[in-house]
Amino acid sequence: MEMENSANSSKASFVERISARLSRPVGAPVVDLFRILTGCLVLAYFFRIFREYSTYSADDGLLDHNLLRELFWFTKLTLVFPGSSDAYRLGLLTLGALGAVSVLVGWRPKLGAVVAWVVVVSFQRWNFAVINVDDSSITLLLWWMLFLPIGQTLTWKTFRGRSDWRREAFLRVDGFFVRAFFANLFIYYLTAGLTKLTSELWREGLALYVVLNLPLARTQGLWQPEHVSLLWFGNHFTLIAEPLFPFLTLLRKGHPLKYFGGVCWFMFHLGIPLTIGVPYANFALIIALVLVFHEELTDAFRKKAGSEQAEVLSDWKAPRGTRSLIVTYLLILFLAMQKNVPGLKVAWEPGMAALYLGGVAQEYHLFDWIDRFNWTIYHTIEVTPEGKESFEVPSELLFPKTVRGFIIQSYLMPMRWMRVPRPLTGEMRNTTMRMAARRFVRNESELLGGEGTVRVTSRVGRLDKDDLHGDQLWTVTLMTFHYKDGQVVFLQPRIPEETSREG
Amino acid sequence: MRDKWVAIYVFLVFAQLPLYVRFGEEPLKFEFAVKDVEQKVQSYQGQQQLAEEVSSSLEEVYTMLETMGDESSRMGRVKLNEGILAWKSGKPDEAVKALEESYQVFVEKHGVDSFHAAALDVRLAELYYLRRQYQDAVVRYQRSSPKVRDYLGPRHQFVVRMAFREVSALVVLGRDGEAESIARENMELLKAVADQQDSQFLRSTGGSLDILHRKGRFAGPPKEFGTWSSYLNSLSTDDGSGRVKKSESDGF
Repeated sequence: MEMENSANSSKASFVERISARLSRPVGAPVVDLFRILTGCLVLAYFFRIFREYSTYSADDGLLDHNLLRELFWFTKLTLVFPGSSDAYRLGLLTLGALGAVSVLVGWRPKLGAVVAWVVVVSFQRWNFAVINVDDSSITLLLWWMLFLPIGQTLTWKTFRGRSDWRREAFLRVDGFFVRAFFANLFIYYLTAGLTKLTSELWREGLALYVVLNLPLARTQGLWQPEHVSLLWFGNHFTLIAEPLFPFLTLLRKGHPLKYFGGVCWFMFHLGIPLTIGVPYANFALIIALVLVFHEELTDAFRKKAGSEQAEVLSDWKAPRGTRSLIVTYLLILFLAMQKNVPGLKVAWEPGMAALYLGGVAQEYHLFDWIDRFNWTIYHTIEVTPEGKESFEVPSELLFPKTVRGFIIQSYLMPMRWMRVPRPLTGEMRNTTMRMAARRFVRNESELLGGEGTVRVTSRVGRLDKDDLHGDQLWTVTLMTFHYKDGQVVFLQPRIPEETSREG
Repeated sequence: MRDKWVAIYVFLVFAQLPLYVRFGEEPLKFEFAVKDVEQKVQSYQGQQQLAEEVSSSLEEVYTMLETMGDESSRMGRVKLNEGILAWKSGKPDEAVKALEESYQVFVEKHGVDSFHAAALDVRLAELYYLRRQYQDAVVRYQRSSPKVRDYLGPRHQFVVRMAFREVSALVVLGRDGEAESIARENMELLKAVADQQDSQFLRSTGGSLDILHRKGRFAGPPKEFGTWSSYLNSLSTDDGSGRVKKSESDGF
């Protein structure tokens, strides 16, 4: 019995020692700088959701939400529901944006984070077919806001002079969750980096060229096969750098490699939004640099504060249960990323389900799918108003030239961004064409006139090593429809009448 | 996050479970059941016990669809599997019936121009071809192959296979001009995807090309090979076990 107690006690002290080591204090202003930047990014994200409201979240946008709820039954649990009014949905978004503001200004930031998080998750479920890493990164930031010791410094009080920032510069807080966040970064980068090695295109140095020429990239069409050798370096830089980035968190303060790595990290994540898109995911990771360089930034704050003061340790304590909760989360997150890993792959689906239930669904397999999702599509839209000459209109009027715009078009091709159960891909394809046609006719009524015919011809195919330039793309008539007084009738393909669906 | 909020959060996570079970029970059960059927049908090689198991699983799946009140195209997928099982069991009439029903489901739910309807139609064509009903096969190939090609692309192994099945059927019907034109158009593609085709298909395709060649309608094989059959057979990776290089599915 004595031996057992002693074993328990030594086990407890080991856990305590680990916990104490992970809890070494960090500068509170740095954690709050991270909070402020997160608040800004989340607020910008809400502006984007507002801006995209009519395209995706509204009932008459590109998504048939009733069908989506049938295909992805697990998205039914959300604050947005079929039949809810635009006023209600926009009100929810406003509430979420206010939550982001409260994170930003540090007024009840945890409550603000909870509100913004619930709204963000609700809209992600509502628009599930088109969500991507941009969306899940915002969820991730808000999730960490719930745990990090935020709101101690640099709040609205500081800016109004009610609290002295020079004193705040010397405040330190428990660093457990900062280091737990680093563990999340390890899972993120190791998954994103190492899984690319499973892709033939990445290994051959062609992936970056293909990605940059897909419709999801801002630079589609700018890159020619003669640029492949240049992009080969970018391709291999990604393969090498991405798995190494999280190791910066282990380097000591001021280490030259840490600065070099930090610059690479920054440039890498700045380069992606400039060339491809997905800005929120990349800015989220740029923001994470604040925590990676927490020691250096704390010193800088103190230097700026001028006077030498004694450090003060905040009385903030991690609430009971939160440490266990975050360790459990990290463990589940790790398991959820083990798709295709021998021996562990059995865990990825339950892991994903658990993350989804917890409202923090993440997917760090980034661009390792390029060998499957290397489809590209260009549309030519020819409008023939009744009794008038035909003319062409830009294809962005039918599908937005954005990452989400590409994702929605993926359902027209033999690929599934989200795993639509087979053979319901057929229903999804029809509804995508139908919703796009109706939206186009409604939005462009002045251009189209009262009656006429629209013919969409598409050049479609895959970019790969056999066809880097897209010479082997083939031409198809994607759809032809007649419109009259805002109503759309499909001529080709002949698609069945819409059946009413219960939400 | 305060202590009580952790408890509330954990409670909320678990409290959702009954709702997810309610929403997901039927579609998930169906998905698991139909995947099980598909695996069994794929591995079926005439074993009586397995055939009985699949038949019983199919019954269950039909009951599930009825209980779900399903109005989607799921039925088409089940009928397709029923058709494949019937074909593999040596019941061609039942196979045709099941595939025709599957085709009708896709026509009704996705439309006559849809990929799924077209893919089913060319499967039916293949069935008719294997039953030596070449005229019926050609009708189906001609109306549906272009739709499958538009969706999957001309380089896809399934599309190329269908093109050369049509060539073979046309050769039997004596429509050499049409056969020649399709063969010329797709020959390079066939070479590119030959390693994804089974040797039986390559041999029979080679036989048709040899007939065209003898009639002066088509060029001969590379000099070191006497016939198209032997040339195409040399491109096969099929070792006789029925296993060929893993290729993309037909996108179904």
